[in-house]
Amino acid sequence: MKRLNSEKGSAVLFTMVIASAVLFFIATGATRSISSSVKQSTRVSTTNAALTVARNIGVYLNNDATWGAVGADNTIAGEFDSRTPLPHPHATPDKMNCLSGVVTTTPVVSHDVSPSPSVTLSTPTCVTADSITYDRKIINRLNIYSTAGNPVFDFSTPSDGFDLQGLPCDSFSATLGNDNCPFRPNIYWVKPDACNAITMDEDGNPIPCRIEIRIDIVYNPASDSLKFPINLSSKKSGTNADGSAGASSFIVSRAP
Amino acid sequence: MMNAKGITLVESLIGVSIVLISVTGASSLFRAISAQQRTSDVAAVLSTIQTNITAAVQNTDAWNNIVAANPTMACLPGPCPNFFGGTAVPPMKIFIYDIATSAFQPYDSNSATSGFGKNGKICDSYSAAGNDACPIKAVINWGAADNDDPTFTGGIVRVRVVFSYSPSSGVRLNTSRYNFNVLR
Repeated sequence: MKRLNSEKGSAVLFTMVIASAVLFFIATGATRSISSSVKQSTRVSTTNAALTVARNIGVYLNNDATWGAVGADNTIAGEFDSRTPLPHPHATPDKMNCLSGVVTTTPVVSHDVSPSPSVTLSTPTCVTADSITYDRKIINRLNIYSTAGNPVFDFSTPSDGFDLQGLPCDSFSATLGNDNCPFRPNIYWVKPDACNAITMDEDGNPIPCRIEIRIDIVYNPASDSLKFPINLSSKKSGTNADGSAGASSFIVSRAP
Repeated sequence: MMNAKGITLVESLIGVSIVLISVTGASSLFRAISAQQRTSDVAAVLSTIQTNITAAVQNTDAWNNIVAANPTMACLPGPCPNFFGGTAVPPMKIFIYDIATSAFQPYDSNSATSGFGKNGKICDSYSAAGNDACPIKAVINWGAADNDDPTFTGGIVRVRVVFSYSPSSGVRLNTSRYNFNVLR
C-alpha cells in the first residue's frame, strides 16, 4: 500500500488509467456519432420509400381507368352516386356529388359574350348553400385499384400496406409493426380551396373543379432501430387541404 | 522491485497491460467506426441515386427521352410483353439530370460497366469483381404496374430499380433495402 501510494508510481498508473478513460470516451462518442449518421441515412432512405409509396398511389389516382374503379367502389357509395350521408363525422357526400354533377351537365351561363378563358359561370347552388362547412373537410377514405379493376389497397383490410420497395403487401401490423410491410396509407379526398366557382376553357367547356386527395403515410416497423418519425411535408408542394401541419402527408389533385 | 519512489513490477505490468488493451480496443473500435462511416456514406449516396432515378422517371422530358432510347418501350402505350411476368426485358437506359452540367446524362443499366461513383455521379468502370472508383450498380427494368395487367393495357408503367455495391476494398453492403419500384 505504501508503494501504491507513492506519488511518482501512482502518477504514471493514474495517467494510464485516465488516458484509457479519455480514449474510451472519445471512441464512444465517435461511435455514437457514426451510429447517428447511419440512422440518419436509414431515415432518409425510409422517407424516400414512403414518398415513393405516396407517389405511386398518386399515379393510380391520376389514372382514369383506376379512378373509374374508385368512383364505382360500393364501399364509398354515396360520395359520387348518391346523397346518402356517411357515418364519418365530416362526411358531406352530397357536396362532392354536386361538383361531380356540375362537370357533366351544362351549368347556368350568365355571360353575354362568347365563352373565354376568363368567363366565370354561376357558382353551383350546392356550394353557395353550404360554403362554410364545405371547405377543407375530409370526406372519406379511398381504396385504390389496379388497372384491371382489382384492389391494390383496401382500407377496410387492416393488414393491407406497402413495403420499402413501394409494392403492395398484406402483412402490415398496427400493433406489432413489420419491417417487411411497414407503410400503411390513409387516403382521403378533400375539396380544394379554390373551387368556389365554375370557369370555362377556351372551347367553352366547363373546367371541372379539381378534387384534392390527401395521402397520409403511417410508418410502423417492428425493429426498434428502424423506428423514427418520417415527414413528407418538406417533400410536397402546398399545404394540406384540411389545414393541418402535413406530417407524412402527400397531396394529389385531379378532376372528380 | 522494492523501490519505494518508483513503481513496482506488478504496477508496471498492469500499466503496460492497460495500454495494450486500450490500444487494441481502440484499434478495433476505430476500424468498426471507419466501416460504419463508409456504410453511412454509401447509404447516403444510394438515397441520392434513388431520388435522381425517381426524378428521371417522373420528369416528362426525361421520360420521353427514356422511351425513345429503349427499343423495348416502342410498344407503349400497350399492349406490351409481360416483362415482369416471365418475358425477360433488357435493363433500361435512362437519363439523369446533372446539376453541374445542367444536362441529362445517359445511364445505361444494360452496360456491364455503367455504374455510379461514391459521389453519386454516373461512371463507366463498374465491375462485379469490385472497383472503388465506380462501386454502385443500378439495374433498371420496366413493365406493367399490376400483375393482373400482364400485357400492359392499363397505362401505368412500373420501373424497378435493383442496386448492388461492389467496392474493391472495404465493407460490402446489403443494398436490398434501397431497391424500389416507381410508377408513372
